[in-house]
Amino acid sequence: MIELSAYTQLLVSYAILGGVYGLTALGLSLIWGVMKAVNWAHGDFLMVGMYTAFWTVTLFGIDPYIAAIVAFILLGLIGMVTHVIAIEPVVEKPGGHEATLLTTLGISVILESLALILWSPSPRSYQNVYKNTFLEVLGIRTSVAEAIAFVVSIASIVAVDQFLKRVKIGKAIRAVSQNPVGARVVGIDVPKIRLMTFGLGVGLAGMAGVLVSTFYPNIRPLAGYVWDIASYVVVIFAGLGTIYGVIFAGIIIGITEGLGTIVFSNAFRQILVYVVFLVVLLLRPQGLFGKALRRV
Amino acid sequence: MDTKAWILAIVLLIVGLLVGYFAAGPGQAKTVTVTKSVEKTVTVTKTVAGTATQPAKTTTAPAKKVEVKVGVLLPLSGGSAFSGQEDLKGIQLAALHVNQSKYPNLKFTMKLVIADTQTKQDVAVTELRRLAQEGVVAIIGAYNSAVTYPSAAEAERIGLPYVVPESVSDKITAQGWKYVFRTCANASKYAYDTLWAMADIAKANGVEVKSVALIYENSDFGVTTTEGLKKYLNKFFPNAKIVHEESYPAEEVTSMDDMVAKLKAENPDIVFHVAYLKDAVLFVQTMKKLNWYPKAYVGAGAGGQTRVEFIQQLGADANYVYTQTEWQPDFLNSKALSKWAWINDDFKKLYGRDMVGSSALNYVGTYVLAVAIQKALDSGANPSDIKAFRKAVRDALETIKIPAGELPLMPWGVDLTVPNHQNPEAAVAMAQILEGRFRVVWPIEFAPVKAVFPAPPWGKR
Repeated sequence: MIELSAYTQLLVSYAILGGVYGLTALGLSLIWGVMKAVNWAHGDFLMVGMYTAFWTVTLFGIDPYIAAIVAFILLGLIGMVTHVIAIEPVVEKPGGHEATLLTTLGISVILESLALILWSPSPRSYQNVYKNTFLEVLGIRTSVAEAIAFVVSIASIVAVDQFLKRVKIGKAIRAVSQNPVGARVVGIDVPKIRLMTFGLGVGLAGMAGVLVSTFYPNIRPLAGYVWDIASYVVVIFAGLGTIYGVIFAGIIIGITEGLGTIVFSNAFRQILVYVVFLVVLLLRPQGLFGKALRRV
Repeated sequence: MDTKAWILAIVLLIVGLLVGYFAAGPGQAKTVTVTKSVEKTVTVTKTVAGTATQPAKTTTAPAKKVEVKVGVLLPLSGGSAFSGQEDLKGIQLAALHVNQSKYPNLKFTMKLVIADTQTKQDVAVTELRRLAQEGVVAIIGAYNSAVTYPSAAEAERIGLPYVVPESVSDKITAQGWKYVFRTCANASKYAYDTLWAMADIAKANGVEVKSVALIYENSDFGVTTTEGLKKYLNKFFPNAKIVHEESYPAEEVTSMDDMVAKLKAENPDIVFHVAYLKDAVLFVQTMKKLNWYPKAYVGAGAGGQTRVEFIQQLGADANYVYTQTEWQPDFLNSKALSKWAWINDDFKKLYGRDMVGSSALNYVGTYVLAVAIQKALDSGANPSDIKAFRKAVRDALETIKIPAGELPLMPWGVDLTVPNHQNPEAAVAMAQILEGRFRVVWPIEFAPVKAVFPAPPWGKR
């Protein structure tokens, strides 16, 4: 048995980890939940974000949080290019949404292979002060890097949620997601809005990759995989189309994972997460915060 | 199907086949190119050697040296290509030293015939048969245990001596094979030596170890190494209890807070951790985050903690970590092994850096094979009668006994006279990271520095 203080420490640690899951899931939620395109390469964009951090920090010595902005812009551009070559040509065809699954799978394979060729399979990480500086509140410790990732996670989720609700382009994104034909009728440039949504989603994935890389020592071509799976679980768990739900879903999954390791052992960490995931889906197929589809 | 599609498919097929043919070339030519590049290396080093000071003087070569072909079976492409290339460097350097008469007792020329296993079992067996047809007298290889095993079985079947310098799986020498010899330690010995080293180090520092914890990644590597640790634990630490044991999936683990928190509560004296790189780094980072460190944190099985990236990624936080290591250039700073520094110097001149475990182990394996070939020649066996000569080399291998200190580079000797041909003297050294470098701390008599035990807590570093 572990003491109460250790137990609280772990709950906090895993809640923070869950917040980070929320952050990695945000870009996916936007593309999949709102835009209804399946982005199989999400984890690979996270990976490119991690490498962006590695190279900018080690080559130019800039702060990793500036690298996060660089990655947001760079990945946003890469996302738009991806959209032009892999999403837009198929998305309006019959079965278009399923087709995006295959085209983005192709992008995923290309990105992973390129990363292997360019940067080798060897895992990397970079030194930074944030992961070596610690905050201590009531005996509970965490690294500054993780605390910042958690705060940025909440801030960006709130920002994206408000952007979709209040800003004109955000409203247009929602309109396109709900009714592309209607949106076109009222004069919205649908392909342009889709392009921007995809770019924004991929940009957010890149930024999340940088924030993860500040404390998680595993920058390598297949590094996105772990966070990718977690992101899919978080998005489904939260419910397609909700943005703020992502943060709660992330934290719940983080804590569930923690409880699995505390109560049972590390071998159970994934099992418990998926059991809870399946139970929630059985009870609420639309996800925790999603709206149920009405029969027409 | 419409005609256009048919035409397009056929054209593509023809273009593909043509491109493939010209890019790859016919099969046999491949080996020739590889051998050529070896000869090229030889010439390069010859010029280098002229300027170097060597212990054995390069006298004018005797008029006619017997040439003996040795087959090299390594993963030069595929998943383990990186390691296979490193192994090859060690073997080529050893052959070069034999050919340059750096070892005055070895009076023949070793010609390497190199084959690529592509990290595949079936390819390895096929390539071994081809090497046998090309008239090699023995094989050295094949890095991956899973590839070494079936190819060694085939060598046994056709009566071709097979020297294993690096694959560790226990079963390779557990079959009672007559033609298979292993110069390095096997997997159980890794676990055995981890405990032996830590027991010696604890004793030398006057610390009694009462509790240990075993943390391991849950694939074959972690599980078998940990089984070995459990098997021998009480032999070396009769009073120690295992207070915590836990495995984890290395690929999926995103946080190790839970394990470190549990360990912090139990506070074991030594933590043995079988890990790959990422999880090893994450574990040390988490220990720092939760402000806890055992008396000794030991990387068992020469996994992630033994890689240079481990130090690069953790910086000063990597200090005081123990890790098993097959070989470190630091050995050459010890009194007993400094006489072999010239080998590493030659390696450095060729490749611009020190040897690593893989190249050093393969150098040693090749050296042992060369000694056996010389013994076979001395016994009067005729290399042109290939079958009889292979038998003579096998018989010679079975009589090999080289005491520690006389074997190049390694702090151990070779004894292949044992019935299973598993060198019982091969040991796995223990290094400790001190001031950002791997320093050899065990075997104590070959260690240039003394281990720091117990490690200082985080606050006092």
